[in-house]
Amino acid sequence: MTVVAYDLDLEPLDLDLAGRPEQPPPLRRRAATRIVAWIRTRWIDLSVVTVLVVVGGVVHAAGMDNSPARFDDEGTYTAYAWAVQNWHRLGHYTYWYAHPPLGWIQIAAWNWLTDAYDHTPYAIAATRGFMLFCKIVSIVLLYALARRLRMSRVAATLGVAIFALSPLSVYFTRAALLDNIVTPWLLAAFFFVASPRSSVRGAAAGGFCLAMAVLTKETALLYLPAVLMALWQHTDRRTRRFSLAFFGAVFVLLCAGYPVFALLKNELLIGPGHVSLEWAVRWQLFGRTGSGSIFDAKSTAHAVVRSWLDQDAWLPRLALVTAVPGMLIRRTRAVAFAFVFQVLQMLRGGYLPYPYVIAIIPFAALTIAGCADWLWDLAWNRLRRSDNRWLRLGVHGKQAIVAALAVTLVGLVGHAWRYPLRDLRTNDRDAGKAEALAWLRSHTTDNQYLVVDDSFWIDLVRSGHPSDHVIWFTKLDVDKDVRIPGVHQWAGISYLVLDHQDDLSVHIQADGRPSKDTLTQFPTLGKALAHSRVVTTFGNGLDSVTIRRVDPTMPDPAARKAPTKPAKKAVP
Amino acid sequence: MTAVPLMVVFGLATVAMLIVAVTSLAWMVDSWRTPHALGQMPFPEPDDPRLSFSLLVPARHEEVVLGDTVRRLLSQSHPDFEVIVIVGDDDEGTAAVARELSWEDPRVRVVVDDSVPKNKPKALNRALAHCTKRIVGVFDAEDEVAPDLLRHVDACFRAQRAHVVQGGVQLMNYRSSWWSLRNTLEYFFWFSSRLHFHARNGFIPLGGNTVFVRTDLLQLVEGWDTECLAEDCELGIRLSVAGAKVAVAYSPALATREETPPTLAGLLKQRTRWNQGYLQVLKRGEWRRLPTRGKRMMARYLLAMPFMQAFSGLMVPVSLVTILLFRAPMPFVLLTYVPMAATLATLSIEAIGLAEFNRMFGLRVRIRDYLKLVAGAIPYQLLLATAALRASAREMRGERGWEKTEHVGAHRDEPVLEGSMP
Repeated sequence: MTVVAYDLDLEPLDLDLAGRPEQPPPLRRRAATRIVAWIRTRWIDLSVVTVLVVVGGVVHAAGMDNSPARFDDEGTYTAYAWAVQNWHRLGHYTYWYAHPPLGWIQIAAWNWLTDAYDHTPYAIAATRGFMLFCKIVSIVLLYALARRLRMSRVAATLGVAIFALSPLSVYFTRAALLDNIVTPWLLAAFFFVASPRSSVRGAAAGGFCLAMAVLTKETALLYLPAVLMALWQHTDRRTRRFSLAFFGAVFVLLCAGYPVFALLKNELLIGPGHVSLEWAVRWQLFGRTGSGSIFDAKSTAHAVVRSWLDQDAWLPRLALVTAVPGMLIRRTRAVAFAFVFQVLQMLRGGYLPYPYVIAIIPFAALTIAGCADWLWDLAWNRLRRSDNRWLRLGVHGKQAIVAALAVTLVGLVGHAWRYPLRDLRTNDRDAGKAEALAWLRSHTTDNQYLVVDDSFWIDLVRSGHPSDHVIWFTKLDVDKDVRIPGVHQWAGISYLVLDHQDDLSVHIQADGRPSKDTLTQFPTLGKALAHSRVVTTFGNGLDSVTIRRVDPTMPDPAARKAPTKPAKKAVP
Repeated sequence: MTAVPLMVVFGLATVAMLIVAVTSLAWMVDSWRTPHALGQMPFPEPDDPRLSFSLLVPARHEEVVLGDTVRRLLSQSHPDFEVIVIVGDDDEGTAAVARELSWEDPRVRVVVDDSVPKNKPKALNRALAHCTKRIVGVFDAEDEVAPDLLRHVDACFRAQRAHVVQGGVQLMNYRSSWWSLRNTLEYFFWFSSRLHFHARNGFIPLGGNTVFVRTDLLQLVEGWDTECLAEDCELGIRLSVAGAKVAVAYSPALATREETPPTLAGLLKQRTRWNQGYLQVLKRGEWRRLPTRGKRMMARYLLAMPFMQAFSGLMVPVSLVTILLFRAPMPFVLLTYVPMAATLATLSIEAIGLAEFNRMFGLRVRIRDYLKLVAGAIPYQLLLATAALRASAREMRGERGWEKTEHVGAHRDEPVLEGSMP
C-alpha cells in the first residue's frame, strides 16, 4: 500500500474576482536570470569548451587558406553556392542531382551573410571560412555529446582534442567539402536523440538534424542505423513509440522533400532530354568505378587509406583497436557502431572518395575517448578496493596519475602530430594555384574560352571573364547547355588549366597526351588536349597545376613529334 | 504575373497551417513528451476521503438514459455525496424518471428549471443554489462514471491543492462509424494530453463534464455564463483569470465514458456549438485580464484555433489548384509539399495515439481501424472546417440558439434502445 500524505482539508479560498494581477518581472530580466543560472551550473564545462574552441579554432584557422591546396571539388561546391547566391539557381551548370543541394545553399547563406568573397584571397577561401565555423560548432557539439553519453570531462576533452588536433582531421576539415557541413548536423542529431530526459522533442530535433545532414550530402544516410541505436538507448519503453514516430516522421518527410522537388521539376525518373534523380542515384550506387579493395596494394582504395594513415598514424589505428570494445560498452555503443558501420562500408570495395574519412573522425575520436574513460573507471575502482598498500597509494595521487597519463599521451602522440601540424600551419601548398590564377588573369582576355579546373571558375568569372567563356572541364561533351561556337568545339578553346588530380582523372599519359578513352568519351576535351602544348606549370608534385595552350593549327597528334611553334594569338 | 496575390495568400495559408499543425501536434503528445511527464497523467493514489460532493446532472429529454446514469453515480465508493438532477418544467418524461430516482435514494434531489429558453448553464446555475456539499461536480445525463472516481478526485484536490479538478472523458464507441474513430481519438488526446498542457500554462478551457470545482469558488464567480454556448470553456477562462489552480488527471479506468453523436449531422451541430461558443468567449474578451502577455497570446490563439485550422485547411487546396494552373515559380510549387507533409506527420502520430489508446484501454489493435483512421483524415478535416464556417456564419447572423446533442447510449454495454431519439 502506498503511503500518501496529502493535505487533510481544502485550504481557505484565497482567490477573488479581480484575479491575481501578478506582475512577472520583465522578460529581459527573466531571461538574464535564467542565463546566469544556466551558466552557473555549467561553468566548468563551458570553460573547458571555450578553451577547446579557441585551441581547435586557432589550429584550424592558422594557414587554412594555404593548406591544403584548393582543389576541384571545393571549387564545384563553392561555384554552386555562388550560383545560388548570384543567379538564384542550384548550380553554375545544369543541376543534375549529384548531391542534394542543401549543402551549398548553406554555403551560399554563409558567404552572403559574411560577404565573404570580398574578404578572402580567393573564392574557395570564403567557403573555407564556413568550414571553420562548422568545425567550431562541431567541437562544441562533440563535447556536449560526450557529456550526454556520460563521459567524464577529461574523456570528453580527450575526444574533442583528437578531433580538433589530429593532423588528418585538420587537413580534411579545412577543405571546402559537403562532408564538413554534414559533421555538425550529424553530431547534433546524436546530441539531440541522446536526450537525458528521453524527450520526444529531442527525438524530433534529432530527426530534423539527421535530415539536414542527409539533404546536405546523401552519404549521411549511412549513419541512420547508428542514430536509431542511440535513440533506442535513450528512450523509455513508455514513450518510445512517440519518440520513434516523431523521429521517423520528421526525418522521412524532410528527406522526402528532395524527391518531391525532383518530381515537381519532372526530373524524378529517367526520361529523354532531361537529367533525373533516378539516373544520378543509379550512377552513384552502381555506375561509379569501384576503388578496389583497400587491402590490394595497387588499388585506388589502398592509396586513399594509405594517404590517411600518412597524415596521422595514431587516430585510425587507435580507433580500430577500440572499435569492438567500444561497441560492448553501453555509453559508447552507438558512436562506436557509427564508426564500425563506416569502416564496414569501406570493406565492400565500392567507390571510396578521398574525403570519406571526414565524417568518421569525430566518431572515431569519441570511441577512443569513451573506451579510455571506461578503462580509467575500471582501473580506478580496482585501485580503490585493492588491499595492496602500494596500489592504494595511487588513490591519494589521482591528479598525479591523470597528469602523468596526459604527459605520456602528449609526448607520444604530440610528437607524432607536431610535424604534420607545423606543415599545415606554415606550408603554402596553395602557392602554385595562386600563381596559376594570377597568370591567367594577366595573360588571357575576356573573349577567350578557358577550360579550367573548377577551383578557378568563380575567381575568373569575378575578375571579368564572361561565365560562358570559363568552362569547367568535366562539362565538355556532358552538359548539353555547354557549347563553344565553331565547327569544332575544341578549336575554340584557348587555354586548358588542369591540376595534377585532373590530369589523373582525364588519364593524361606520360607523354602528355590524353588516353584513348578520353579521346572517345570526351572528344572535345581529348582533341583540345591533343592539340595543345604546355605553356607553364606552377606548384610541385601533387599540388601542381599545368596551363596548356590549344593550337588548332598544330598537326594531328599522330605526327606531334616535332611541334612547330605557332604565334600566340587569341582565338575568337 | 497575375498570380502574385494568390501566391501570397497561399504562402500565408501554408505558414498558418504549419503553425497550427506543429502546435496541435506538440499539444497532442504533451503528456508523452518525457517518461517523467507521462507519470503526471493519472490521478494520484487515493487516501481516505475527506471532502463531500454535489453532483449536478442536467437532463433534458433524457428519460432513456438518465435512470442508468444516476444509479451508477449512486454506486460511487465515496461516502459523502449528493446527486442533483435538473429537469425542465416542460419535460414531464424526464422529470418522472428523476422523481422516481429521488424516491429510491435520499441522496438524489430534483431541481426544476423553469427558465425560458432553457439551456445547460441556466440549469446548472439553478442547481448551484441547492448544493450543500464542498465540491460541485458536473455530469451529463448519458455519462458512464467509474465507481471510484470521487475518491480519486477527493485525493486529487488535496494532493495538488487544486481549486478545480478536471477528470478524463472518453468516447468509447470508436468502431461505430468512420467519424467516431476520429472523434474518439480527439477526446483521447484532448483529455489525456492537451488539457494537461493548458492547465500547466495557467489557461484552460474546461470540459463540459467530469469537472469538479470548489463550491465556494463557484459561488464566488456566480456560476456559469447563461449566454454562452460553450459554458464550460467560458468558466475555465474566468477561473483562469481568477488564478484558480486547475488539476487535470486522466486514468483510463477512471475516465467518464461517453458516446459520439449518433449521426454525422449531430456531430456537426455539436462541433458548431462548441466553435461558436469559443468565438463568443473570444469576442467577450474576458481573457484579456489574464496576468501575462504570454497567457493572453495563448488564449487568443487557442480560442481562434478552430477557425485558423478551417481557414488554412480550405485555403491550401484552393490556392494549390490555382498555383498549379498559373505555373508559379518553383519555391512556391515546393511550398505545396508543406501541408501534405504536415498532414502525413499528424497522421502518423495519430496512428501511434490509436495504438496507445488501445493499449491503455486493453483493446485489441485492428488493421481496419488504422485504415479507417487514414481514410477519414481528409473528410474529418472537411467536417471540422464546415463546423467552423457554420459557427462563424451563425454568430454573424446572431443565431445563438442551443443545438443540443442527442444521446442513444451507444457506449453502454447493454443493448441499445432503438428509436429513442427525440
